This record gives sequence, structure tokens and C-alpha cells, in this order.
Amino acid sequence: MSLLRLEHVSQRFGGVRALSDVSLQVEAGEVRGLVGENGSGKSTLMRVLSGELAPDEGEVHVGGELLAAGTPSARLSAGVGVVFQDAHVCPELTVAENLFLGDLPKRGGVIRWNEVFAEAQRRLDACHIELDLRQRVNQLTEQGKTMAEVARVLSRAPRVLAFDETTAALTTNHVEDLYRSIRARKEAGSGIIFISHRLQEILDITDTITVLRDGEVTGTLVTSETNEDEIIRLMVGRSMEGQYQRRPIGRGKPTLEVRGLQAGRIDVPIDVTVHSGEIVGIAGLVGSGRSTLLEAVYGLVPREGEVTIDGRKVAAHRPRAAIAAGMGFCPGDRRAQGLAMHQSVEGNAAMLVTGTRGLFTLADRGEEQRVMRTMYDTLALKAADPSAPISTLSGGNQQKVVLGRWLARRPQVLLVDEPTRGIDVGAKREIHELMEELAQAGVAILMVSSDLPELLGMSDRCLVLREGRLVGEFDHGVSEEQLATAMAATAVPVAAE
Amino acid sequence: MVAPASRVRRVLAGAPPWTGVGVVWIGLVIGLALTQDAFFTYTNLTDILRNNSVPLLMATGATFVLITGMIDLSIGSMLGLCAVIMFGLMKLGIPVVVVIPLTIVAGALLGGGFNGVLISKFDLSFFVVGLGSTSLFLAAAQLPTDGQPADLSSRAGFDVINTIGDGSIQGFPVPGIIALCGIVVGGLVLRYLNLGRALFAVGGNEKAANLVGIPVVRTRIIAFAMGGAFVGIAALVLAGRTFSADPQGGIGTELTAIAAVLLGGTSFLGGSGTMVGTLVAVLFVGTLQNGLTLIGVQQFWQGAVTGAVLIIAVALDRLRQR
Repeated sequence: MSLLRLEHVSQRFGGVRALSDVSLQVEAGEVRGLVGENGSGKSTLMRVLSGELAPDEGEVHVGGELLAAGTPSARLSAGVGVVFQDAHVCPELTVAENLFLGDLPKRGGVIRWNEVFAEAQRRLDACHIELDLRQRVNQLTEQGKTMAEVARVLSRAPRVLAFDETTAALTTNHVEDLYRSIRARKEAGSGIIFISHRLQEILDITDTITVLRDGEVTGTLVTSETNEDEIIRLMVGRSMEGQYQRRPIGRGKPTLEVRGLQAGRIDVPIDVTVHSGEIVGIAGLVGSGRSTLLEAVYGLVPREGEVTIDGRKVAAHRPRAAIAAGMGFCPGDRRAQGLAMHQSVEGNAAMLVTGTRGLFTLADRGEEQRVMRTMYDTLALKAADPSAPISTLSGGNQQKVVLGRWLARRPQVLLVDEPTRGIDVGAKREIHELMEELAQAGVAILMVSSDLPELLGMSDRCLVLREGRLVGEFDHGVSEEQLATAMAATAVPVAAE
Repeated sequence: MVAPASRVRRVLAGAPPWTGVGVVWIGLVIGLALTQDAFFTYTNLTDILRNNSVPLLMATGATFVLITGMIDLSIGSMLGLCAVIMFGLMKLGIPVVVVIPLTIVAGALLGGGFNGVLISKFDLSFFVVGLGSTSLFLAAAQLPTDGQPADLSSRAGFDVINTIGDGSIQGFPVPGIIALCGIVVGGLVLRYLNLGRALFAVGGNEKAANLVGIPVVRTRIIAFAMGGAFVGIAALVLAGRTFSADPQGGIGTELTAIAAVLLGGTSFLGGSGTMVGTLVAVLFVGTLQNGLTLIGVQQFWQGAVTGAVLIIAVALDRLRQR
């Protein structure tokens, strides 16, 4: 009898099948790798495991016992611990307090701080993690926060343990620490699920591998008998039919030139040139610095280095200067950065018109209406009532508003981050066609996407970022396997044991 | 075939957010007109406007700030400080036609230059800054006056201030005209000026506004400055009515003003709001107080009724949004 059994788990989100009939068994003392592209259902499966999500169908058994769905606290007491991508630690509390959330050692209602710190240190030692227990979590580095989250979950000595892309935020040294913790739990007889985009890590630490694609299990492998190529084949294996294929046109003059750019994660200067009429894709995993690159070029985050359009320098750190210089930017998270969700469709559409004019001038009603008409005509925006809140529109139509704002301005350079994330196939195709048209009209487009078929189909050239560095450049026609390999390879080889 | 209940709900969903207060207000007016002989008279109705022109001016200014998702909690003690500043300027012998704009500018500087800069530019919590500057402004107003109301009636040019605060044209109150003009100007700014668009955008989603080039910090500072300028105008009106500059005269008015703005359908979270809503809400609260006085309800009970109505109205509005 396996320690962990996930049986016939299915989950739909609206019209999208996130998981369909996924079954998975993990034995005591086994480390199971879980791999798949973005959107393949890995994180959804982890939410089902942690009890955060009650699936449409399917059961979770631990140690032969069926666990009630949708009850995270019951999962904790059943010995299930999941380390999520976004840390669940309390930032204002110390590391030690986070290890005891809800059950600090007390005597007569008074917290025994000596015991807290002593016991916390014992727990950290037991899982091979080094952290300053008295530091508040929000004073830690990103890596420290992740390790605090790992310590929080591990300190309960869970029987079933899962890591959802925990290594994405870690450097090589910390990955080694994490490996030590994982091996210690393995010795203690826990069943472990390890998710990572870096295939080398999967090969390093796991015993067996389950591959997911579009919410289905496409293969279960024994790690010692497989290799990266086989894994990628099982991950990708999707037919490219029906995917939009751009008709590359001759490249024009250099329009956007980025020289010696450094910002945030990007600590080695990067040069990028995008020509008129060219779509340059940027591939990279979460945390590779791909979004930072766009934000730095646009001037949203502080940068070093020079950005020019047609040879004219663009002032840093002011989106307004970037817009005036002919840039447009569609952010990756439209709800958080792109739209005022409870305001009207027309209000959101008009935002850029407001941004490009002085505060003490009359609102340009004519221009606002022109933008709105462009969205209806060029983008086939489906919004019956422009005065209704934009939250009532579908994701695809919301994205059309984010993108459509720029159309009326005809920017020379368009920066797009995840142009089609979370939108339906039809809208996706329309947005691809629009980008194609813009490129035909001479716009230079720099596009970040985690959707590899999209990157391959749309890009004339593809740049690959890994851990803040530019590690590769491919022309149109590169295979998905090549791109995935370049993205996922471990930058600094992990020292052999 | 649409069921009547859902049809009603659909109509309500499309109605402006101040519909609820508006309906209750009209009901109240009709009820009082039918039962109280003294209510529906020209004198009483204009008195309501006269008595509520200070809250109306304060609420108009606060509407700008609330639309950007912020609140200026210090406008009450700012009202006293503006009055004391006006008193000081008059004492210096500065002509009243200069004192009036200077008082308004003083309000704009206290609101925008002080609160606005601290909150927007230095990214401090509006709540903490509001509490701090409430004490600061009050102290600054009390120090030169020993905390006592300063008599204005003997100052040269007070007749002008008195007209602003308590005058009448054809029996219609001058402060009411000023406050209504304020609402109209405010409404025009929100509707037709690019600044109005920017206020809503910043309140709706600050990041998105920044991304399309809207100067978020400057927009917020201007909102606070406009809030302060309206406090300056309110200080002129208040001094003109009470014949004095009272450093403590504005204490508590901030809550009435902000409550009225919220009652008028402006969202606590920013990004929405109308001047009409603010006007209707102030008039509703004013009418309610007037009616209670006419009926002969004891003054302290009036406060309780007004408070309860505010909470009920906001709760109803929340239900409407579901």
C-alpha cells in the first residue's frame, strides 16, 4: 500500500481542464519528480494535495486513509506539508515564531521564549537549514524567506511532503541545503514530491518522475533510466497544428537598442536590439529576470545602461518619457498592473489618453472615443456596454483593452509581457494576428512569454534568459526542446558529491 | 419574461450609487412637508442650506481625496487653523480682498504641501499622517490665540467676511451659493478636466495609472491641495457666521464631511465617486437634523439618529452592490 495515493483527480476552471483523471502513488522514502510546462496542472495538483482546493473529482489517501477534501488544517494533522511558490510565512514575525505558528510553547498562558528558541533551533538542525531565528522574516533575502517557508513546513516532520518550484528562488548553495533537507526526510521515511523547471535538479534528487501535459499524466519514469531528452519529449509532445505561425518579413532598421542594461536580477549587462517589423521573444523561467527586462526598458524599475529608439536616448525611470519616445507596454498581470478592475470599460480604455496629456487640460473626449472605436473595429472587442465594469468582461476581452490602448497611438516599440496568459483560444489567436499586423506595419515588438509554442510561433528571434543572464539566442525555427533545454539548464553546475 | 424582482435589481445595478440616499432624502422631504408646517417654507429650506454650507464645502474637497483612495483626517483642525491664519492676516492690516485668496492658498498648502507631500511623495500612511497633522494643526491654531476664539467683528473688512459667511441675496444665503458653486466646479473638474480622469485612474489602480504615464504622486498631491483649498473657503464661511476665528471650531467636522462623502456613494477604496452624490448626502443629513429639531427631538438624540442613519445607509449601499 503506497504512502500517498492521489486517485482519479479531475478539476475544471471555467472552460479549461486543469487536471483530468490524474492518479499518482508515492511510496515511503521515495522522491517523486513532477514536471510539465506552465499550465500543465502541477500547481493545481499541489493545491489539491494541500487541501486548499476541493477537486471536482478524485480522492487523496495518505497511509491508506481517505482525507476529506478542502480542509487544509486536517491535512496538516494528517502529516501533509506543501511548500508553495508564494511563501505562506508571516512577514512581521521572527523565523522562530513562524516555526510555531499557532502553537508556541506556553506555561500558564505565558510564552516560554527560551523554550521557543531552543526548540526552534533543534527543528532547524533536524532539517539542515541555517537561519537566524530572531530575525523577522521580512528582513530576510528572498532566498531566506523561501528557506524559512521550507523550515516551517519541514519542522512539522510531515509524512508527505511536496515542493512546488521551491528552487526557482534559490541559488546553488541554497539548493544544496534543500537537497540535504530532502534527503533527511527521505531517510525518515517521508514520501516526497519535488517540482522544478530545472531538469538537472529533477535528475539530481528524484527517484522517479511523473510528467504532466495539459492536465494529464503522459509518463512515469525511473530517474536512473531516463534523460533530459526523454522528459522534454513527454512534456512538450504537443502538435503545433492550429498554433499561429507568423510570416516573418524582412527585418528593417534597428529601432529599439538596449545597451549594457542592468536592473534587479539582471546583474550582468545585457544588450538587446529589436528591428522595425521584428518580433523578438524572450524565454525564461519564473525568476529569470524576463519581466524585469521589459520593466527596466520601459523605465518602471531603476536601471543602468542606455535605451535608445531610432538613436534617440530614452530617459530612465519615467514611463511618461518612454511613452513620449514611442514605447508601449502591456504588463504581464493585467489585473494588478493593467486595469482598474471595478471601473468601466471606457474608463480603462481612456487611461492612456489621460496619461499622455497635462493634468490641467480638458479631457480629450474625441480621442477617447477614437480609442474605444479602435478596440471595437480593429480588435473586435466584445463589450456590449462600455460603461459596465471591466471585470464583467472575459479575460481575452480585458487583454484586448490593455493592448488596444496603445493601438491608437501607433508606438514604434511595443513591449508585451505574457500577451495571452489566461485567455481563451479564440482571443489568443486574435491577439497573435494583431501583433503580426503591428509588426507588418513596422512596429518593433519585444515579447515575454512562458507559453513556448507562442514564443516559437510568433518570434523572429528568441532570446533566453536564465538567472538574470542572457544565455542564448535562437532564430525562428528553433525547436521547443532546444528552447526548453536552454531555459532549464542549471547555470552553475552543481558540484558532484 | 423577466421576474419583477430581478428587473428591479437590474435597474438598481445601473443606477448611480447615490440613488439610495436620494430616494430616502426625497421621502424625508415629503414626509416632513406633510407633517411639519414649519418645514416647507422658503426660510427653513434656505436655512438648511445655510447651516450646511460648511459641511458641504468640506465634503466637496474630501470627495477629491477619497476618489484617489485616500482620506485627509486633519481637515477638521485644518479648518480652525485656516480661520486663525485669516485672523492673523487681518490683524496685520492686509486688505480683505487679499486675505480671502491667501486663506484659501493656506488651506491648499496645508492639505497638498504638507499632508499630500508626506503621504504621496514619502509614501506614509494617510491614517498616521492625518492623526499627526490633526494635533499639529490644532496646536498651531491654539498657540497664537491661547486657545480662545479670536473676535473678528471689530477688524477692518469683516463686513466682507460676514457677507461670505452669513449674507443673503434675495433671501438666498451667500454661503449656500458659494458651496453650490463649489460642487458645480468640483463636478466639472471630475467630468471634463484631464485631472478628473487622473484622480479616478489613480484611485482605481495606482500601478496601472503609473504605467500609462499618469503622474501618480502629483495627482494625489493636487487632490489633497484641492481638499485643503475647500477647507480654506469653509473657514471663511465659518468665521463670517460666528464673528470669530475659533481654533477648536472645526473639531469633529472632518467626520461629518467624510461620512457624507461615503454616504453619497464615493467608495472608501477609491476610484469612484460623484459630486452629486456628495451634495445629496450632505443635504440629506442636513434635512434630517432640521426635521428632528422641528419635531422637537432632544439635541443629543439627534446625533444618535444621524449616526444610525449613516451606518444604515452605507450598509444598504453595500447590499445593493452584491
